[in-house]
Amino acid sequence: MTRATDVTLGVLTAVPIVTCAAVAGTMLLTGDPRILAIDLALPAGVAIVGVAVSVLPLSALLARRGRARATARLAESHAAAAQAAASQARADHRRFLARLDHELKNPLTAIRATAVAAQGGDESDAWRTVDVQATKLSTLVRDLRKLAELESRPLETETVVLEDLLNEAIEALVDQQPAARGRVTLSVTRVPWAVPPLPLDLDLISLAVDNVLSNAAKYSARGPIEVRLREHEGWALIEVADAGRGIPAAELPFVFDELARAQNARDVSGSGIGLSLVTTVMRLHGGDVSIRSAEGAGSLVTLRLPLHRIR
Amino acid sequence: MNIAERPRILLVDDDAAITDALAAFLGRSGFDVRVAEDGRIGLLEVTRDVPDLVVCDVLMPHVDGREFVRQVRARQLWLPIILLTQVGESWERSAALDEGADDYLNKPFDPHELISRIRAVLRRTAQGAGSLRTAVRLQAGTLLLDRTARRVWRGADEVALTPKAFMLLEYLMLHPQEVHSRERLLSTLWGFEFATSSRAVDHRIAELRRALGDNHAETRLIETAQSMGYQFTARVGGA
Repeated sequence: MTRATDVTLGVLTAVPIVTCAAVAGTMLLTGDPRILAIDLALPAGVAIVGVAVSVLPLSALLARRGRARATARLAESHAAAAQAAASQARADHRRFLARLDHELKNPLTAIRATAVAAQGGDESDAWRTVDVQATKLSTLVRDLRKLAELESRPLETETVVLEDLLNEAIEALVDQQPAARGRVTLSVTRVPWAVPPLPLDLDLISLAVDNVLSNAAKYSARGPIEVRLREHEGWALIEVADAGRGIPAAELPFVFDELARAQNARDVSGSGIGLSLVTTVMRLHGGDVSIRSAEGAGSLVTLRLPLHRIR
Repeated sequence: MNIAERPRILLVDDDAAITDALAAFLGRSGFDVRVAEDGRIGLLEVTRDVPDLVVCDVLMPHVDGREFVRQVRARQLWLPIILLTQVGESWERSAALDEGADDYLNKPFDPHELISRIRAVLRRTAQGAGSLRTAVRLQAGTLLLDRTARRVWRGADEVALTPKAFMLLEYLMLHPQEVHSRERLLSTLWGFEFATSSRAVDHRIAELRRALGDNHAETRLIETAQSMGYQFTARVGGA
């Protein structure tokens, strides 16, 4: 309620009291002898008393309801503001990465060209190290930029059968990492609710699934890797579980951050881009990703996709 | 043009750190290199003495890379041009922005990749395949692709393709008899190349083969080069 309304209500409250008090005072001083007598039947009197007594708690009740509505409105606007702030933060981040990438690309091109031009055939050539490291840096910056770009990339959806996609992803994983052969199993729950074909961006979902699968293989040298697909309360769930090294509890909250790498993962090569990529892909599809992990026991990554997309 | 000699390359970029290093590397790799500091000087150099090929940055003061290509073509010069584009620009977006360049490479690139692109483009030009670039329609046997209408026919039947499959087919037909690795197709066409994403190319090749009925080994249009990538093997003409 605005300040003007408050003032108006104040005036409307004060004017009748003051006016009537003044009139009554004048009447009293002038010795007005008139009397107002009201004839009232007892049932009507009782009813009026009832109403009068009820008005008090009723107004309290209405005031409480009003306050609750105001609180809800406030919470709603807070949530909207938080969401706007989050998407603003993502946009700022995206712009920053684009600028960083832009400023780095010319120096990196020059360094790589110089290193390649200067290289002799010698294996211990220092220029070779420069070349390799500059290439690494190029890839990292490029991946970060691409990751930021994904946020604003329009989805190109087509009908995707997740079971086929998972079978293909497992095959590709085993091709790439033969050590994983025989360890990966896929189980699909079809009865009574099967996951229907879904409109998804095939390239992006494959990217997300490949990432999660390859993590499972990378961080578990032995033991089974179970991939499960099922429907659950309007969502398609893809679970990838491994019996690997797991993630230390203290680092679990940060695994989805860009460039985050757990302390116990230093010996395995990786950029720390993967899981934030997965998060972005899932968010673009209206889904999400979550992880449960225990150090030394293994990890369970769950990808959720809505069966009915609300846009 | 005789590409057995040292092919003459004009390198146009406003960053001296890049032109110095690249000129040295290209020179060592058997090319005769001239450097222009920006698009305006590049245009003067091209008119003064036409090189065999131009490598040109996109972001430059005065005359940028795209304007450079337009002005070169406006002068009826059809020499091959390779543009050094912005990261994140897929081939489709680059090609839509500019129809006159022969190839694109994202900065920062592997200098060896630049060499192989230069050689491929020179080879294509020598074989006369460079003229495909300006063709509105591409034909290979009974396969016809209309680049403007974004439609494809096999004989009398129109073939329905997803936009990505169309983009891939157009690119392969524009660069026939060349083996393209999955990674390279991905970075050039899709504009994103994360380490694990090369299956995206296989998906579209599978779609193309299905849609075009390209499944008989003897008469295949698109060949899989063992673990290397893909190539369009049939002869392509402009129509």
